[in-house]
Amino acid sequence: MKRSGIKTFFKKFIHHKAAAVALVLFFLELAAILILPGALHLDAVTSDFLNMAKGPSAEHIWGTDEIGRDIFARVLYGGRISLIVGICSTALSIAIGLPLGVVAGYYQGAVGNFIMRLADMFMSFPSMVLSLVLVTVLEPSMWTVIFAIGFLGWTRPCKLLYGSVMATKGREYVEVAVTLGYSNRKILMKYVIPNSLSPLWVSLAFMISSAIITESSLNFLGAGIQPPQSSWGNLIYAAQQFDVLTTKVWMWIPACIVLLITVVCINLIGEGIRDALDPKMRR
Amino acid sequence: MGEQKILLETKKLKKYYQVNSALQSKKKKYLKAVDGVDLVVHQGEVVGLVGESGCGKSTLGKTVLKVHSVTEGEIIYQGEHIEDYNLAKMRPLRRDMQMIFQDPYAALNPRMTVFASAREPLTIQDMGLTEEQKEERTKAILSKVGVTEQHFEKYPHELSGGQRQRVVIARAMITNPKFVVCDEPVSALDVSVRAQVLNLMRRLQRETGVSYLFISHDLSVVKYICDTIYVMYLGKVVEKSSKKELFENPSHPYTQALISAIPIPDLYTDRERIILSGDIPSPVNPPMGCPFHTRCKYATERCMESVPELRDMGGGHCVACHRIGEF
Repeated sequence: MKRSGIKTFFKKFIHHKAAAVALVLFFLELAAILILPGALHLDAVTSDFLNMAKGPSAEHIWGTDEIGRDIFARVLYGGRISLIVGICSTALSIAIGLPLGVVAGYYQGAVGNFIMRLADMFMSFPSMVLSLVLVTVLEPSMWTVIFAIGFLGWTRPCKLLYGSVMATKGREYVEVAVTLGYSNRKILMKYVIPNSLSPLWVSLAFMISSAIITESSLNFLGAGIQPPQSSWGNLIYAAQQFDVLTTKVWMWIPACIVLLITVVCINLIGEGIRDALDPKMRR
Repeated sequence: MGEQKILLETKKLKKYYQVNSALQSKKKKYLKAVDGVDLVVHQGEVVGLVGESGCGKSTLGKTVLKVHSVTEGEIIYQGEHIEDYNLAKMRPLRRDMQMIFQDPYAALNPRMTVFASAREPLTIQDMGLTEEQKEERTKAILSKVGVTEQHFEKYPHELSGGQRQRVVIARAMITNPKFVVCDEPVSALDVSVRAQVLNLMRRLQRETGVSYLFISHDLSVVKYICDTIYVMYLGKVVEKSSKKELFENPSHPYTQALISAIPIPDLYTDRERIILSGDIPSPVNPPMGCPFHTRCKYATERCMESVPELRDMGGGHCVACHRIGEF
């Protein structure tokens, strides 16, 4: 691995055409979200009382919402929040779940059983109710939302790693590592974990997108990102009203499309990373 | 052979696996994979271990190297009791004790190149080598086992079975070990490649004076490479002898059956084939008395009641059978 290094990794990643396109798209989107609002002096909170609930026009290119706020600006500003929530909470979930899953899968026994039963307990709670309680107790803000979603999401990477570590552990090259004289820690770092990670790369996209959706559900219940801040979630929830859903489609379609593109991109990037890390894939 | 120094010895070595879970407290059941084996390996000797699949030969090999923990008994390596050693305590000994695996594909880390895999023992064992010396040594051993430079940066899945096994052999031999467990090293290989790899292993053995514990189910392979042969059945040694004596004068009915099963490439040679009926009994519920009595045509009542001990018949030829010499 070290010999070939980052260069080969990047080369192989680029060879995964879809992943390369997805990466470019994702960066474009990131750039838009980060740069455009400042560059175009977009305002996502002030109402334009003359143009309330109007469709796309020269003034508001993606139209305005019920109280006259610019949809284009709200989608861009919302993207900042949604992406931060999605990525940070997934990172938190993995930071908790990955080591626990690896330890449980490798050592099993009492420790493994304890961790897995704990995960079962967490999974048997309706996580929406739990995060609702957490967020309200800790007062609603972006960071408490991230904490609640990330903290309750650790079971998914944990269970995933538990299974794949157990499978890798049974492989003969792990026995080889023992006969070579490695310590348990080294066996884990060098043999078990690198060979167990591939399912995680694929589920990464699902974890990020479901975090974005969960945030919007929390928001709908009044515990998420507080107005007037926007997020993709609360934009999409505008479609709850029947007349918005049927006649004022400009209010929710942009956020949906952007979310869709993001999720597909992250999914493809995850796949690309997995393939680039796998020496068996030679494109 | 007799005067040479003993390199490795096991005394009443046992390896049991618990088969029912701890929660079912009624009665613990064990799978007796290795059940009281005394093994002696001299310096420079090639010891063969034969038996049908499931008789515990691989488990014995891996337990001797402490890949599996010991249930009971002793392992003595150069006068040192190693049965209770943990991973850290075993580490310096790993330089001298290596292993060659049955399936070379499974035995190589799929994320490491051939060169990195072969070099790996040197990165763990501090042998006082500089980085350059390590590189050189890896190149030397790889070319010695017949892996050419164009394959060095390849990954295991890009090689053929024979090449992979050569890499595994190189990795095992790079630290100049004194004792190598070879767990069916050629059974996963093509017949055409098998002879090459066997010859390579024999050549390395003669050059370095390493001792092998050579595990195989194929008596013709064992006959080719080994000096002393142990025959195992259901976790126990049933016969032990020098190669010549074993093939000329097999004394245990099980050994006789095994030897009669070796194919002879001659149409006109008539011989009596001993065909064993039935399967090997489950090691979870081994039969009372002699483990082989369920399939032995000479079995008497005594065989069903008491376990025969391994007795020396003279000249180091040991047999575990009550009716030895009666048939």
